[in-house]
Amino acid sequence: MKFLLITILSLFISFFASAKSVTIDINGMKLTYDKAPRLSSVLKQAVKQGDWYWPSSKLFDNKTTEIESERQEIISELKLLLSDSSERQTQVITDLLTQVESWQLMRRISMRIDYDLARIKEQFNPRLIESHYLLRVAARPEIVNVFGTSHALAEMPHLPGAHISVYLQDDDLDCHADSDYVYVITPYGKVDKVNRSYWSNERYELAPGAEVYLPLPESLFSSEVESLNQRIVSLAMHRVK
Amino acid sequence: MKYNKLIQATLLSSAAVIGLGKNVYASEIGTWNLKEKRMTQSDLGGVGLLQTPTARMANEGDLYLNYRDNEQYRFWTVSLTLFPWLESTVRYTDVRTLPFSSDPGFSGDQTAKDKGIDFKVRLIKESQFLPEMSVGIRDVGGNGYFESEFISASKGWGDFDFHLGMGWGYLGRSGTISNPFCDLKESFCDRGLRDGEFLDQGGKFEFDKFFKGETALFGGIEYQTPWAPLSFKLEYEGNDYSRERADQTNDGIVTQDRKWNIAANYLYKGFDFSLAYERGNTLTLGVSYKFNLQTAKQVKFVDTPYSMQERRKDYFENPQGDNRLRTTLRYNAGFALSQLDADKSKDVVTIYGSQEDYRERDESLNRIGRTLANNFPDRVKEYRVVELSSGKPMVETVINAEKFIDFADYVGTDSKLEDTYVRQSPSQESRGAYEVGNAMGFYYGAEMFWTQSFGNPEAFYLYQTGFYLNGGYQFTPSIGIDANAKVTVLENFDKFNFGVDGFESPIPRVRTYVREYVRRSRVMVDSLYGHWSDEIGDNLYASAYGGYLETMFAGVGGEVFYRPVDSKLSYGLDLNWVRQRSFEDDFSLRDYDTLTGHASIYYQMDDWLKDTQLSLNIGEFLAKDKGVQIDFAKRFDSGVVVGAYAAFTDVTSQEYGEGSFTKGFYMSIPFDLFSLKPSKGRGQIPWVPIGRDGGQMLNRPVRLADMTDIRSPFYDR
Repeated sequence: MKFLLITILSLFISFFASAKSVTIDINGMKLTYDKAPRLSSVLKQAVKQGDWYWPSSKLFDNKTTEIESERQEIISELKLLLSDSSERQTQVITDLLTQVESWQLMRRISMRIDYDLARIKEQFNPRLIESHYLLRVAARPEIVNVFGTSHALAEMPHLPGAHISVYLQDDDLDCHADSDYVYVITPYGKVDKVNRSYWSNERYELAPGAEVYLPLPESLFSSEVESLNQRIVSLAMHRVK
Repeated sequence: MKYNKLIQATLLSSAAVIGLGKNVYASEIGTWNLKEKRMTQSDLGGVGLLQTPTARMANEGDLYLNYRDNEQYRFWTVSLTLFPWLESTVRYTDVRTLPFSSDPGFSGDQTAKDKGIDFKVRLIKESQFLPEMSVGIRDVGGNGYFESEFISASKGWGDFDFHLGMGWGYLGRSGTISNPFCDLKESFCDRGLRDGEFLDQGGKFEFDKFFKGETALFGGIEYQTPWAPLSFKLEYEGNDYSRERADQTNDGIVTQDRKWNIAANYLYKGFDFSLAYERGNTLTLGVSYKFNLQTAKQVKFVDTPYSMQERRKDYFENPQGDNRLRTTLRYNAGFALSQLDADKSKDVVTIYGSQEDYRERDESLNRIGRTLANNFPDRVKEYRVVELSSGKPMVETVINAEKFIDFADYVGTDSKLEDTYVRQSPSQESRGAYEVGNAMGFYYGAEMFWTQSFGNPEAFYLYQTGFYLNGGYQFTPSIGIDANAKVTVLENFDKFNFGVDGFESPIPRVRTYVREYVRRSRVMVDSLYGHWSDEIGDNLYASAYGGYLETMFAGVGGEVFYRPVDSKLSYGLDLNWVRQRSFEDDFSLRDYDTLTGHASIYYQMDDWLKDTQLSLNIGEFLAKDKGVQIDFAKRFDSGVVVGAYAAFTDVTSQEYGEGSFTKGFYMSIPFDLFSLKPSKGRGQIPWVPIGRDGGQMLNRPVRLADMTDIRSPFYDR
């Protein structure tokens, strides 16, 4: 009886202890901290694993409530759009809907994750207090991703010095997208709206690891689709997979 | 603030402009991409080809300073993109072929000058099938040498930009097409101006002429060469120069050999040089300088805010603690402390004083909070910062110490400064503990002034500079006396060859004696008055004052003003009886007296248009005219505020005289943008095209809107 009590007690204790501890998944390697660690000490562990390209490193936490409800709102808006769309559009929106539904989301922390910065400047070295984090570090990516109103997720080799339109030359890829603009999520988490049409002389080169969102065609006279596009891009930022 | 034709600025502007060119691009990664189309300026100012405007808009906050020079004209222009859809341009024109007036004794050998204001509004943005389209009016503020209206369309194709427009007035003088509005309505067929005739009053919006008379098409092509600094322009004009100010009598001074104009633009370190060949016979040289009011920034040499990782927390134990806190609050946090309430037995620390250096609230509170956290131990749970204005507690910021320290120590990844504090009216406790003694006694100070005036007959540029010496005595925090002496050090106002203009004026001369006032003496009493002001209820303030209130008027007055903390809306009422001061000596008065007062409303319109404020003053003005003064201001991210105002009263434009109604523009620039140390000061550069007597307000020496500003500031937030 006494033994049982102790077991229950110790279970309780370990439960509370684990609630306070912080776990971090670095590319599959799991670390547990009893006391909330500074980012730099986590990155120190990552550095031991290899030579990482910091501009494309990402940190996620498990505060996903808001993001999931945003996903549901976007899905219902897309469905609304689907209900009064032409046959041609239906396929595009359905594709997009499937993509959004399939995303695995965690909350991406909008901050530069960089071992050097974290050691130099306090504001890049926060104390990590959520219970679970996911850190993605990798070597310099050699690809860029295209998603959105194309039939399939396209992964393309990154071309140094190439203008964005070079990636989008394939007509199949973007025949349903807005003809003037695309959205780019840079590896370090900034969104650029890029004019890639014939009438612009804007020059835009993708950074390695950038993601290009081919948006739904936007209207000149209503900002409804434009704001939906922006919301989809913002949500895509939190994609883990 | 809103003076007559003379223009006041507290410090010079031109010398400092260079520093503004720096933008913050280099600090962000990923900015190697060339985002924007290159915009070039037209001869008359504003984005365009040479003589004609295009539909293109520069970026929000882009400010261009331009100069163009050819044989017949010189143009000085300033063009500002106030919103992405609105461009405004002001222009001084020097007509090199005409004398300023027919009387050399009046204006010497100076050539004719004119000023003008242009507006351009974007109607639609460019897209796959549609061009960018804009509509605009030119030269609405002056004598209409170039008055015109236009609709313009622009379509890009890679490095080419094609433009096509339709113009009326100056831009459409060749009349190559029939006026489309003329087909609709007879009255649009004739503009109603004959050869050699120009508007003599000027300054009005001549709505009755808009889109009337001869109409022509104009357009052109711009080409950006592969070499980034160089671009070319080709233009086809709609003007045939048949009615030209520089060639009023058609002597062949201005002729047009070709309707095509060409130009090359070369960009060098922020300067855009242009060389143009126009009308088939005229060479025009120009230079433009651009900076952006959103991104303008200045490097600062300041102490690092305190880190939360090595806090001293020893205020109560260390004998040097008090001294150190006062010094660091002043030098690290910019906070001039006038009273400190810190008691070992209490868990609240209250500081009274004012922020002297950091004009942005976030930075100010961050530094104050960190300095306090560095000094006080963890058992202090709350920091109260009571900010004073005119010796009175105005606003109290209650900082939750625990939350703040977590924020400042970067605990977690999403803590925000604004979640750590609450701004409120000073609490009863804080008011009760405030020792008024600190706000009493003598004070003195000095402030530089720079008064300038453009476009005068004697010389194009007139200026006066010196100091205002200020001193006073405060009997209680509410009651005091204050005096200002104006000491002129440098000026060329001795060039004045008349004191009062020769126009017959049917309305009282309340402001047009300005020349008499400013040239009377190098040292003069600008103001001398007693004043009282206090908080008389919740969020309600009142004041009364009497004496020599401003340069031109003496009298008594009072005001009540309502302003809750961080409210978008505040309003008040003032009433004054004033008598005109003599310009012959410091203390005697003239016969003219009047009752003047206004109901005023300040509304920060962020819900409608980001970072804008609308102010209305409704009531009776100095010349006994009744009406409303409307003021619209926009703040840019750099802290620069640009505004315009106009007064509409029951004075007719004939009675008013040149300019037709009171209007003016101003730009308020934080000195912070030029200095290596932070500062809260601002310089105001007003531009009043022409100032007359109608729609003029009293410059009240005590303004409750200013005194209570920190409760809901618009300029510095």
